[in-house]
Amino acid sequence: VSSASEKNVQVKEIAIPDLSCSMRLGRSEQFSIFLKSHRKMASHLIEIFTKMQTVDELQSVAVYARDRVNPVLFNYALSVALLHRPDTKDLELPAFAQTFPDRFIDSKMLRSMREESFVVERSAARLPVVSSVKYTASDLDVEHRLWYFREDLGVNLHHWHWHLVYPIEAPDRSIVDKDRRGELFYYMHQQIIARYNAERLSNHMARVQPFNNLDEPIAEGYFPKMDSLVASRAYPPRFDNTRLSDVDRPNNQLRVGIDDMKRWRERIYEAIHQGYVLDTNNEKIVLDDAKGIDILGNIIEASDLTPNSTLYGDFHNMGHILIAYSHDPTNKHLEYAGVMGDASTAMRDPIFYKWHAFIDNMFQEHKRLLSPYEKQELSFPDVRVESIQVESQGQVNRLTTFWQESDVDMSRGLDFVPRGHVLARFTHLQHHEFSYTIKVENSSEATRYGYVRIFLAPKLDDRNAPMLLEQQRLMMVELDKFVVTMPPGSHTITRNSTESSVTIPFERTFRNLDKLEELQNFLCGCGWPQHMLIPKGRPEGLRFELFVMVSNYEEDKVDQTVADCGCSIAASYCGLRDRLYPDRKSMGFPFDRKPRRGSEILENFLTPNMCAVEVIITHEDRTEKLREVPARS
Amino acid sequence: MTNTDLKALELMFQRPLEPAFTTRDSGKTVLELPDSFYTDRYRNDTEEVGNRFSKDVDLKIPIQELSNVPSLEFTKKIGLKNQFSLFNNRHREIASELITLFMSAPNLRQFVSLSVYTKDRVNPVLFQYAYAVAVAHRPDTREVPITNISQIFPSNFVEPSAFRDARQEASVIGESGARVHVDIPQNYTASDREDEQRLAYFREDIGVNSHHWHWHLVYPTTGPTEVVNKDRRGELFYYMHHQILARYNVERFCNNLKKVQPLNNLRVEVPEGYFPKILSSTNNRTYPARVTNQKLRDVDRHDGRVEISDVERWRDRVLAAIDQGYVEDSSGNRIPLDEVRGIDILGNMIEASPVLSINYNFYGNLHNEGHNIISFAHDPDYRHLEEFGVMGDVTTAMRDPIFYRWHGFIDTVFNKFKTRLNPYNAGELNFDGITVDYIEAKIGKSNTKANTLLTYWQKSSADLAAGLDFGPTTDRNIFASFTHLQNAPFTYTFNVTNNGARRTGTCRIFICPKVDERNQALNLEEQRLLAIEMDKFTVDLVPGENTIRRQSTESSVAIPFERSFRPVGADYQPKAADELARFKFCGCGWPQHLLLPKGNAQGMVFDLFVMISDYSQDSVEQPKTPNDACSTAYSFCGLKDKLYPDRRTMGYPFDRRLPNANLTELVGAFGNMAKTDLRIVFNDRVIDKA
Repeated sequence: VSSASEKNVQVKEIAIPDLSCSMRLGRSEQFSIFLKSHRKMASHLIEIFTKMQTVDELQSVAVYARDRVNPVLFNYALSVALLHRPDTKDLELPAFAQTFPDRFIDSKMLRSMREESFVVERSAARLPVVSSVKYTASDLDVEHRLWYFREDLGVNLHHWHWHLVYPIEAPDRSIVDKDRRGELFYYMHQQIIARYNAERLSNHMARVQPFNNLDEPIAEGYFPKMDSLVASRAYPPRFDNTRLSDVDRPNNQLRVGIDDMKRWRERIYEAIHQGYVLDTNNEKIVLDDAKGIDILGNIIEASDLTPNSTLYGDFHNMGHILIAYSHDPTNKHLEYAGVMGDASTAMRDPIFYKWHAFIDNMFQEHKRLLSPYEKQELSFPDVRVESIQVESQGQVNRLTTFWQESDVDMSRGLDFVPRGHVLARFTHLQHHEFSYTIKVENSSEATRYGYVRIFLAPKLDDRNAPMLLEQQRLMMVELDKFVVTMPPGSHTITRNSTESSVTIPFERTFRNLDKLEELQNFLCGCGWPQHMLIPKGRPEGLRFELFVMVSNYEEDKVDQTVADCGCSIAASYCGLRDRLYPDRKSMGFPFDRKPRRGSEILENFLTPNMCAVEVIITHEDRTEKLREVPARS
Repeated sequence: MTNTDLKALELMFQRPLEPAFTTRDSGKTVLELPDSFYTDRYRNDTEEVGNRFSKDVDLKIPIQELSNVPSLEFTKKIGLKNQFSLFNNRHREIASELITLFMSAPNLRQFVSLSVYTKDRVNPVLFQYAYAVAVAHRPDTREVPITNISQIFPSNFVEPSAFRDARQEASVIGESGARVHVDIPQNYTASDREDEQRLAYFREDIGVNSHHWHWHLVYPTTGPTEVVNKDRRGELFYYMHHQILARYNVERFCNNLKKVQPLNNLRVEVPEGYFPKILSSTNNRTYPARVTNQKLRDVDRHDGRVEISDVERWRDRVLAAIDQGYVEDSSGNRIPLDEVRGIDILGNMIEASPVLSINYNFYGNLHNEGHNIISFAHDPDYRHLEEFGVMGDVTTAMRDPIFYRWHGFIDTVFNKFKTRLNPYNAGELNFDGITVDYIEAKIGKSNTKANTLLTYWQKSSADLAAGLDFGPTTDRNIFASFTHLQNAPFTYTFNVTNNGARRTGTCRIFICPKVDERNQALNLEEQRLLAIEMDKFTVDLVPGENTIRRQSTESSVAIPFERSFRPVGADYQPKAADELARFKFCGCGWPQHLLLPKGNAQGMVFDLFVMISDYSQDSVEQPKTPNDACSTAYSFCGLKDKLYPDRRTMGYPFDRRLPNANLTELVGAFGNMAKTDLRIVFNDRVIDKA
């Protein structure tokens, strides 16, 4: 087998640690990080990988484990280990979608890709396999208007990678216990819901309804049309009008009732309303302005960091599980979990957004109890934002979106077929690049350092009425956050949309695996995809408020060694590797709390260091195409 | 018939998803296509792909240009990656047109060219279906063996992880001799918490599902009239499914489950969920599941519409026709449903062959649309762009527990008709002067106990190579091991006295359950509906004592075990002429390994019933064409190009009511019948023959 390969890698022989714990998950079974029993297996394997003394030894044990351990469990554990070992953390991780393409694409495409690699021997002569944009549902399903968001390759990759950087459970607590990890759980998902709602408005749909009554049937079915290459089975669908049932699956060491969920929910609300949680020693931990949201995040996500898992349970994960197993809650049909049971596929399902809208409501219950920000907390004395505008394609305050085709090399994930590139072609949302121009006035005598915060929110609600700030603040989508130096006097700040602190570059999602050397600067896979930075808008234009705030960096900054780490992009949703979150303010500041009295609308909320302007996003319903491919008959 | 033409026709059954120009026959043979045969995708690369696949082959078969290039526009409505369903009216119409095209090819060589040209331009399942029907019916291809469907599309029959494992085995181990068999688990669709799972060995059996597909190849519902209109085709539809139901119900008794409950109300929730875990290689998607307590709904999709009300209306009209004793044809003429032709007329009406139904518009499409409503329960309005579930596919429908409920209902409709007929009278049952004195069934070894038969699990292997598309080309054997029920071969021995002159009789063998799942005795009416036909053959009876011996492997119901699972390819073609003739047989027939019901560990007792009827009353005048090798398994499948070889109605004597109160009285009243207790012992162990 190896004689035909271009390169042989020598693997050192070592004493093999005991893998029996991790091998309890069959190689053909589905791995899920929402399952505690699976997380324990992963945790055990992560521990083995992280404790290897040298990279050579890690390589040896990894090669040994690869053929004996469930492939997704292996990939997950090795990825977490590589991201966290001091000697490998700068190593390039292949995009998950290119190792397990079955989780991201229509299973019909896999057949065509297999044909392409088999029939055409020379890689250069192979043609891309084109994905249909409508393969999970027809227009009869209203939710399908959002296919481009829910089923986007980059969006699902982001979700998976976030869980690599922030695992729920790991042998070393420090891997789990990163700075403000619980708050990041809150904020990352809150932003997803805000973005999702903007897309819903773009498609003339009402904002997402929270799934707050577990006894109610779920009206929307979802048929993902993906087959797992590991399990050789389809991801199970959820049928229209499915009602949740207690899950009792001994083979997954899983038992959770809807009653449990209700009990945990009530205890969490009780803690929020009382302003404190109880730890395992029954000591009170106050849910204060600064740390409360982080504590709640750890409780609701139910990571290793929860102060009291017995009392507050496993609310978020078990919600995923109840939904994921709704078709086979007792394992009567020997079925695996649906897409809600996996971090790389959950966001495809419309119910994900309803579930997380409910989770977000719990967080907002806490946020609403906090005192509104006062003017002096929002102001930056001596600094005034004079004007803001965005420019794109020569137009001012008008942005455009359109469809774009891109090719991805999926060959890494096609097992047991001839080698060489196999391209899959996707259609996804894209927008024209734009730049911000922000004019600020520093009326003091000294240089000021400012933290520029840029948000975007719809102006009108789903009934075309102007939104009160109490609603609009929840719709605020963070676009960027960066530090500026402002000398005395007037100063013009320009920033390109591609520099966003929220996103990872376009090439990161769709990159060619063989051109890694050209992408030395794009290391981190966690981050919102660049091509999804702004909402779709409407053909006739959709009106948004672009909001810019310059806050006092001296008050916002977090003191830490300013080393130039490679993974500095996409900090807003993903934090900084091995460092503190680079903003002392609460995530989502200034919109994470309810507005102060007298600020019912955004205009009245503004302080001199803020500015808002209307931006219209227009969707051009055209596709920027790559070279035509002959019809595959 | 030239060797290369024959070879080319056989190759069309291999690797159905690969383009026609790839190597087949374990990498030994390649078809050389005219340039015009290449599809758009490969038209610019003809030299590259041609060279890739023509090196290292033993045989190159040049394909002739087509004298008339047909338009295949009518086939475009079924996309190449879509599912094809024989239950779908539009799909059947398209298949019918394609069959007509194939049948009209002027000579063998042009038929070969037409097939090769069509193969890459048409949905692969549609192609395989129409092609197989044409091969089975063209005069110049009657000798071409039709590959078992489970070896063309093995993924419709096998747990899909077997294919990933098979590809791994084939890619990593270069020499086939060193490969281990890929093991297919026995219970992979449901756990023991599901009662219906006790029958999985029956419903999901490879042979059972192959038989169902092949029956529909021999008896297509739609097509040219000469292909569709076969002797007593409607009655065969009734009888084949009736026997499946009888066998299924007996298996249920063996597993302590009650008789299947007919699905006679389409408006209540269906409690049985089913998750088939079968991957269709056509669209690389798993067949959709049906969740527990699914409610059936009107189907309104781009490729078909049917309301539950329609099915109810057709049901009521069919039942009215039965109750009135006549049907009305499309001209308004009344046609009596008599005891000879009635069942055939009903069969064609209910199966709903548009060609043969007496009044298609009035009596509708009851059976097929029932399949469709059930198979689209998960996505009746195409909102989720889903294909049909397993009930929508002839190769997979029998896997679903609801198949037996739906056909349980269809069977009750047929039985309602049969019940209205007069019971058989003595003159119809008797065979004067013939007495069956003694009957026994015995496993081969001399020291075994008479009338005790044995079933057990057997692990066998099937070669997946022919159906493993886009796998390594030089594969010889990629075996999948699977476990299925098997019975120990046995011999029937009957002593018959003939008190008259030399005569010919028809020997009919049935097994009847004596008790139900609660050990309650069954009455004669119940027993006759559950009677399983085991064999039917002609016997010569000389005056005086006759001893008749018959091997279970000679059954007219079943096809031999090896024929269900033989490897495909040149290496396995027998060389001797007589063996070759035997090799070319029909794939239609009940699998031999399921000839006996499972029984149970304690030994389940059945009535073994034997009847010898008067051949002069039974025989059919056949056309003077030679018998071909396709003469086995005619009970369910008829004879190729011949009349059904029994004048009696199918299932005789158990298809109609009988004049006695119970089987003991029946046998006592007629000397040409006999019965004995037969014990079937199930041995819960696995014999490995993989």
